[in-house]
Amino acid sequence: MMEAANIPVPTAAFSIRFRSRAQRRVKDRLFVGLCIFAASVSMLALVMLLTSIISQAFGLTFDSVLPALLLGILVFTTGASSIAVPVMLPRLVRRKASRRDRIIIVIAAVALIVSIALLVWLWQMRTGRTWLTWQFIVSVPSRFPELTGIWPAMIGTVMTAAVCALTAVPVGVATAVLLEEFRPRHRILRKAHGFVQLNITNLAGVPSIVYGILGLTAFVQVFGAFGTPNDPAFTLGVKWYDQFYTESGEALVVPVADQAAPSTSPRDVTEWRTESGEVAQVRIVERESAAAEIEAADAAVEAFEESMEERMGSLASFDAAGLAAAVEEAWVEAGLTADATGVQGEVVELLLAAGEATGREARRALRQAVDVVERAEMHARFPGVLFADASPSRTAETKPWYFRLPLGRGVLAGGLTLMLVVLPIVIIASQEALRAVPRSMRAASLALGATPWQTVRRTTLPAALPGIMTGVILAMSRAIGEAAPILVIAGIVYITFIPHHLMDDFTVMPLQIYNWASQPQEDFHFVAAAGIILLMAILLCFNATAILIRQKTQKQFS
Amino acid sequence: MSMAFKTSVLATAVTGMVMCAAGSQDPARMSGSISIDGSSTVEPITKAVAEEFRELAPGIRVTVAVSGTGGGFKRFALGETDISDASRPIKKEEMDAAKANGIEFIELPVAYDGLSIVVHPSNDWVDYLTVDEIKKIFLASEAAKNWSDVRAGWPNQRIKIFAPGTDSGTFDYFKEVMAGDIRADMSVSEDDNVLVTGVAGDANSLGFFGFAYYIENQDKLKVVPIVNPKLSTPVTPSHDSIESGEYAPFSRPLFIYVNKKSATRPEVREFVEFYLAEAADLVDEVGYVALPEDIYEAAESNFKANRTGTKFLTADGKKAEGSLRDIYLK
Amino acid sequence: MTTAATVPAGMSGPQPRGRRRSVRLRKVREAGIMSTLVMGGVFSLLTTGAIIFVLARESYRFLGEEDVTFWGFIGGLQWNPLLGAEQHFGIWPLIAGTLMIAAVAMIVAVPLGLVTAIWLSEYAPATLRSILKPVLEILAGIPTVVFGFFALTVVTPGLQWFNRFLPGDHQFGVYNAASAGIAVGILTLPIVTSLSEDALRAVPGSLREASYGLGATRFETSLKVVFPAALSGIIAAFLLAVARAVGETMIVALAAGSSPLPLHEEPTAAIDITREVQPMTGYMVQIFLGDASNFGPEYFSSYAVAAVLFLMTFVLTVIGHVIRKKFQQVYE
Repeated sequence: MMEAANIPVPTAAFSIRFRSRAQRRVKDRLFVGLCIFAASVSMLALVMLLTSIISQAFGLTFDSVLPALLLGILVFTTGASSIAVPVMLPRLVRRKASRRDRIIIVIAAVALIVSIALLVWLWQMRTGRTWLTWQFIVSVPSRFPELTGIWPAMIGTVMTAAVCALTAVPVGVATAVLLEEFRPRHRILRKAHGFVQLNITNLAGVPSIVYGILGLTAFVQVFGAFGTPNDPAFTLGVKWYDQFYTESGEALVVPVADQAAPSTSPRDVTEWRTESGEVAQVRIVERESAAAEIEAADAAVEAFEESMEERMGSLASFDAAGLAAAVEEAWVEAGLTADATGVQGEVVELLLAAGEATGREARRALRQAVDVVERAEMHARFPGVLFADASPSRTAETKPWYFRLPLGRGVLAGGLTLMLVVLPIVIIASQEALRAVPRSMRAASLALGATPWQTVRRTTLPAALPGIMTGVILAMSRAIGEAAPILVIAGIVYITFIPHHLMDDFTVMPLQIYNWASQPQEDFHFVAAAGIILLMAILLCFNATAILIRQKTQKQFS
Repeated sequence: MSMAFKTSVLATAVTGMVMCAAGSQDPARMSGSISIDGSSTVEPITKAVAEEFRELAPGIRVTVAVSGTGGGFKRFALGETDISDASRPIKKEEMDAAKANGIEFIELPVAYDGLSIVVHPSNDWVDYLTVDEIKKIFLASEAAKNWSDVRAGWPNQRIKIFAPGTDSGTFDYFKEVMAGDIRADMSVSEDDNVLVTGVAGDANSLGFFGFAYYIENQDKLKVVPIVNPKLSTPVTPSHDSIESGEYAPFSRPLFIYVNKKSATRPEVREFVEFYLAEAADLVDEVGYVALPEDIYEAAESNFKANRTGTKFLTADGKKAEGSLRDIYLK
Repeated sequence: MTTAATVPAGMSGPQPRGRRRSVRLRKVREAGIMSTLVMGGVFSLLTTGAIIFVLARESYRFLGEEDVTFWGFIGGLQWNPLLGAEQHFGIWPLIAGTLMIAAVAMIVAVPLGLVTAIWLSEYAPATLRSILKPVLEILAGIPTVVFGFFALTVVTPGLQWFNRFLPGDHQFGVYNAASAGIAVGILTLPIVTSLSEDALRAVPGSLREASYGLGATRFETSLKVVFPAALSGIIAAFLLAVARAVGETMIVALAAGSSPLPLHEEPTAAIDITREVQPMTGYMVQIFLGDASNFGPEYFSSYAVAAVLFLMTFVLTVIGHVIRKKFQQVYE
């Protein structure tokens, strides 16, 4: 919008006071000093940020401030020179470097080498533990800081970012094209255009937690219009089953109507199929009629336990051979009818493990040994039998394209909420990219007889594409770093699996970092620092790609 | 290991083995998902159990959320969760809400906790606190501002209080012991970790939460002995004093409530049975106090028999009196 | 109907393939595409509409609860929906908390940012600028959790070092407003610097040259000519930074605390940056982390707080926009 220029008229703006030249030059220099001081303070703050995180993640501990400061300066020098060298190098290659540029490049390269060397030396000196390890990247979260990992959060981040990108880009670019290329001339439509523009500017300033609230109502619950997530009104790509296990350990599946259907009873099922779909021969037995047999089985197992107890007390040596003999004798004595091959070996193994372990692991191994015997006994006495009062598990076979309405707290809802957050950014960035395309290109296209849309599609949009891609990449890096909307949608949950489909529970990296940072144990703070470095590494790649694209395309139009 | 120890360990495993024949599946082959929510006090135990369970049954997905005892019950009553962690027994309103939705539950105690009152390690003036002094600090009607208002001779510094939020069972339990409305100007959070950080960072601070959170962060906190009203001596919360009930009035049991319909699912059965079997070990590891053998056995048999309802509310909805043993083993 | 292109004699190289297409079909297709684009534009309007609808509906429900009155909410000085003998729903403690943190953030960000921006646009050599601009962009992209972590682990202990000089009542606790404010300030620093620098660079060189021609030093030119000329852009940048600071969630959730200011008892608490505060966003996080299925006044109160927050950022953004449009000095 062009308006009348208001050029400031120097009236009393310059008060004419006699100051000596030297005085004014001093003021000038002072101001430069102040600027450099301010810039250094800013840089220092950011350097301390990086240093604290890196040192915590890599176990570099300091006794006093001075080494920490040294590390900070080193990090800063490495960073600055590692940016300076690639930026300046093209100039050197193209022989367009002035003498000053050459000096700067040399200084930067030397600084880079020296600071990396010092960093490596400091690395040797560290005493703490590295928290950023491959183990950390691929493990699932744990209550022990040494064993915890970030894998589910990483996959969650990737999936939600993908959903966000796929939905935000079409909508955002379409809106930007509409606003830039198809400006209306009609008075009322122009007002509407200005209104939409203002609206987008406003949306860019809305706090992300408000978007989280909107996402909760609009995507997770879909305004309550389609039922609740546990009883969805519409599903696609899922089949629900009730799963039974026979006493011989075979899995049987019975299809059910939907998630909320009542549990099937074995007495009602006419045809039994296994998981792979084959017909299975199953005998339904009332538990009361088998009561005597069950009791006999229990008694046999108990007898085995007791006689094992005796024998273990009088074992000459606690080794595999001795245990195997003891197990075999106790087996026969107890009158167990199960097939002994394999089972006895398993029992011996478990008991050996119990012997070497202590406390909790020992008790658990013993429990498992008894479990194995009991299972074998039941398998032997009730082959192919399913008790009439058995209860199934409700399982679902979900195709990768599983979809349900309302969406529930899944990846799709999270991704769509992130889309809302980044949409204004994508629109504004695309608008700027479109604006940067010189008018001459559009004019030329129109002059050749193309319609406005053809102009956009074949001329303007391809020309603006690098700028749009830069904007999209930067918006994605913003989306990846957002924790507040996901906090509202998914909450803080202990999740140890990766999402298998778009409706699955998930968590994202910033949220996992927040979770660790709010633990009071210091070790978890180190873990959080490691997670932050990982997150920033990913973001750095994104930003570097964006900068590279922009640098390459800036040459195009100059 | 000596032979005697091995046999005794085997013996305890045997006596604890009241296995029934309903679950003959190999846990390693099972699949399914279990949704747990509730108390932040009980969460460390449940999370430890879930982590260990994952080694046994990697195909079963267990998610553990922390909304507070009250928040967990609200979701439980709507049927959204299978198991609810609780640091206090279920209240009448919550029971009615569940009944209204057709939800029945099985009540299982899992550990003892000694609600611990903690101060900053540099706090050298608090040697013990009586219940009356605690009331002076916490009741809305008195709400002591400075330490000197609590006991003469203490510093004239503002008390900074960190307390669990109203959705927390710890808060409910504390409020009951205080028998009155609690003051409003405290820093509250449902997340006990936030409270630990708060108390550990302020020299004039005072906070309370489950014993395990104190044990986990002993190096940052100082625990305050409480004068047992019956014995009139200060008792420091410890494994023994909580187990014996000497640490009063803040010893309390921790529970899990299992949805009866969910309990028919094999994976839920497997998980709860594992929970009760491993509780004695994991509870101690986490920092709470394991229940005596007979209470765990009673819980296991209640679960096997699918006995629903709570023993902690009388027929007319009043709170039952007595210790855990008296009430639960009746 | 297609016709092969006939190649005029004497022309070589790739020839455009022509195909006569129906004009009507093209018009129909283009109308279809236009409506798709318009739908995209409408979507953004729908988003704003949806936000307003959701917030209004739940706030209405909140105001309809017993214990809650509109004037009590707007004018009340006590906020304790979860504790105490009775519930109070006055919003001012939360607003005061937000403003306190935003004020600290601006004190940190604006002087540093402006000075850096002036240096970058007026003094710095081009090569340095081409290095620092990308650095600034990268810094603007650091996730807010990182700053929250930084506030909790570095800033708070740093501030607590000053406790030895402070009276007992006003020492820095582990959760305090200053720490969160400083972290938010560092977060918004790149925004202020970047946008201010853009505004300063938009001032045409002719103005500067005129000033130099009249004998002014660089300092006098920057301060008395360039800066006033770019003022509208700088104010717009400032308001955008304030909006960002007001809406910041993760930093305050980690570092600021969960205790609303007791304004009804101590009005001076509003300027005490050493104490714990709870801003609006911190309260919303507490409710949404706490219970997701409750339907009492506490749950709806977070929507009402969100509505106030939305209004605040809306007003700030609109004022910034108006200032930029109305007072923007367009040259040539």
